[in-house]
Amino acid sequence: MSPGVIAITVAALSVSGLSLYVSRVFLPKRMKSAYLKSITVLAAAVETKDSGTVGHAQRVAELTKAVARRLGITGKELERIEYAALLRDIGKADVPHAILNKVGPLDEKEWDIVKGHAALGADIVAAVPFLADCAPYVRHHHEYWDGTGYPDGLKGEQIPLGSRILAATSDYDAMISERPYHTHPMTPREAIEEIRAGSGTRYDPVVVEILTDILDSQT
Amino acid sequence: MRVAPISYRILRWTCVSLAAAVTVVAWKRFPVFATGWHSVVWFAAFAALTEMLAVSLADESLAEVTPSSPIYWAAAGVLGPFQGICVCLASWFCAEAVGLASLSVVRRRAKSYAGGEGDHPSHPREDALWRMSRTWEHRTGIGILRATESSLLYPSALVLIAGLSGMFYQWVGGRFLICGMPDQPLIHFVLPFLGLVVVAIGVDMAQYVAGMAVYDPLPAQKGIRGILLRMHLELIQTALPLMRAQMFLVVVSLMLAYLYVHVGVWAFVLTSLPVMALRDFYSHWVREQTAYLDTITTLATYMQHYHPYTRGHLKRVAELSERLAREMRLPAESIRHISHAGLLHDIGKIGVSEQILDKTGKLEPEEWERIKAHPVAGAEIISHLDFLDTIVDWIKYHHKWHDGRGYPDTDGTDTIPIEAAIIAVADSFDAMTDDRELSLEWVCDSCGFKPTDGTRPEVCPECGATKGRTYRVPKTLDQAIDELRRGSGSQFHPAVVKAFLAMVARDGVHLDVG
Repeated sequence: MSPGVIAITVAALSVSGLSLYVSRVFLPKRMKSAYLKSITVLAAAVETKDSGTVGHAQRVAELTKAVARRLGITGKELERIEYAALLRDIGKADVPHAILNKVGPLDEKEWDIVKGHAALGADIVAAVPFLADCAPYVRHHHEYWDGTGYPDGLKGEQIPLGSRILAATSDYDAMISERPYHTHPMTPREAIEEIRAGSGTRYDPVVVEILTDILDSQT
Repeated sequence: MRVAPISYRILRWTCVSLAAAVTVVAWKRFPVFATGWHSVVWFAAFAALTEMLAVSLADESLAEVTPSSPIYWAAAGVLGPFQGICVCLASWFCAEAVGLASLSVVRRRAKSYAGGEGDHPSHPREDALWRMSRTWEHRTGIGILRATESSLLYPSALVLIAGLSGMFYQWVGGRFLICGMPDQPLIHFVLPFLGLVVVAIGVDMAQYVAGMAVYDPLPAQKGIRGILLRMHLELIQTALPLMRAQMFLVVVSLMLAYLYVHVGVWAFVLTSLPVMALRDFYSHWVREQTAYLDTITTLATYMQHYHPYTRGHLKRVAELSERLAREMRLPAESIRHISHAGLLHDIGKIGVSEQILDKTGKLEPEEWERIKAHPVAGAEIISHLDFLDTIVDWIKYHHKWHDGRGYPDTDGTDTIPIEAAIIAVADSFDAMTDDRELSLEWVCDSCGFKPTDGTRPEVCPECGATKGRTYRVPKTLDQAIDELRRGSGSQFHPAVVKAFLAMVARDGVHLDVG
């Protein structure tokens, strides 16, 4: 083999190596950070409407991820659950402010509008190719273990695992945060007890065990 | 898919005739190597394989990028222009045959799961089939003559590329490598070969740019000037970036040509790695671009759910802004991004409650403050997305008047980008002519009187108070244009208004979106 052949082969191989690096490592990395930023922006938009404060979605996402990791979820699936946690309330776009921030109990019609947010959120998310996979988690994040949740009244293991985690973590966050209709938030301790009380009725017992364990170590 | 204008068809046939002429010249005037024919088969087979790896650029256009060009260049350099042309034609023919075959498979499958959902199978292998059959699917719908036309354009472009670049190669002193590697230093082969690649890329770009320009000339100028302007635009917008990417292919092509002479067919095995890598790069790149667009669409979708009345408005503003930008011959970058900015210009209203946005009465000062904050809030949201950096300021200043009034308040040192002025005009025009306010109930600001007969008086018949906000009743086109003309120089940028008037006078408004 002549030196020319070797030189050109080496050159071409390094070119293809570089190209592979760009397409397999560099671009996906850049894309992932762009995805995450877009989602954060969306989540911030959602939160501005929902509570006027930003940061809850991040907090719920962190907590959800911690629980999911302990359940052995990794990789893409973990990412999906994180995105779902950030965007779970995107369907509230359709719910008027007057209902979201209403002080006092909602009447039946208003309740129905609020309940619609899970399904609508799933529809919005499903229309976006890079988010489509987390649509089921968004749709079912208000289902309860005993079948009393919405929108589909799923029971037990019928509910996707990601949604089961999300139901507990988002409820926990709602309990400890201040809202117009909820001016005296619980302390973390009280909220943990409340979550524990819902184990097996509202929440998946396994999830509750891990979640309370994580929260106990935090507080 | 719009119907191609007559000038585009003329261009296509010109291309085909030129290609035929080049083929004849290459055949008669340039050496055709008797030993070259089996190489033609190898090159064509390899090129056909890479043709099938094409990556679609976007769903609505049939445009594709393939990693095949380095193979055609190498063929022209190794085998000479005529046999290079043969490689192009043979590989094109194979790829078309495969496309047609996959169409029949796809159709058969579609029949077997007819009644099931969708015509787009989701399995990746089915996906590839569907993609390859797509051009043929399109062709079966447009009649035999047009189908021939559209299918002949690509091979004639290939023929022009291979033929002309091969001729150029010999002209600058390159030797066709099928006769063996010359005993000169490598540089005597590399330099003419670089010339060959430059000519090939040049021909490719010229054909693409001319095609785009004729297909969709700039509206500002009629006839040939519009075409030339569009060519200029297309050259900067798409061709130059693509060219940069193609220069990278030189290495692949050089490698193939050089190795083929030394190790024969093994060269294809060695080259397939960079070719596959390249294909991988294309598909990731396309996916990234789509992801960006998806993000923009999602934000706009969210906005529309948030404030349903904006549904048509955003799309109309996006389209109008883009037309205005073209009319004003802004740089290609601006034209590309301004429709995104149009879709997202009101994204800052997400923080404003819909009671304020839809309030028919007079706004309280603090409510007015909330509304006035929306351009800055929108710019804030967009600034988190790196790929939308360009449009941050366009959104921030789309309520700033030309004379410095409007909001947000600035210290007067900021320059308002012309794109912001364009969005301002498009936004105001659409708001003036939009009838969305008609769907809101008319309520008197001071006494709360609601007319029962559905009228929308300017002055309340009960208490005599005048209606607080402007734009109550949609204006006719003439009234809206008058309003723009009156505001030219104060509220609106005079150049934008001028362009707007010219555009409306020529094309009308015909906003057919939403």
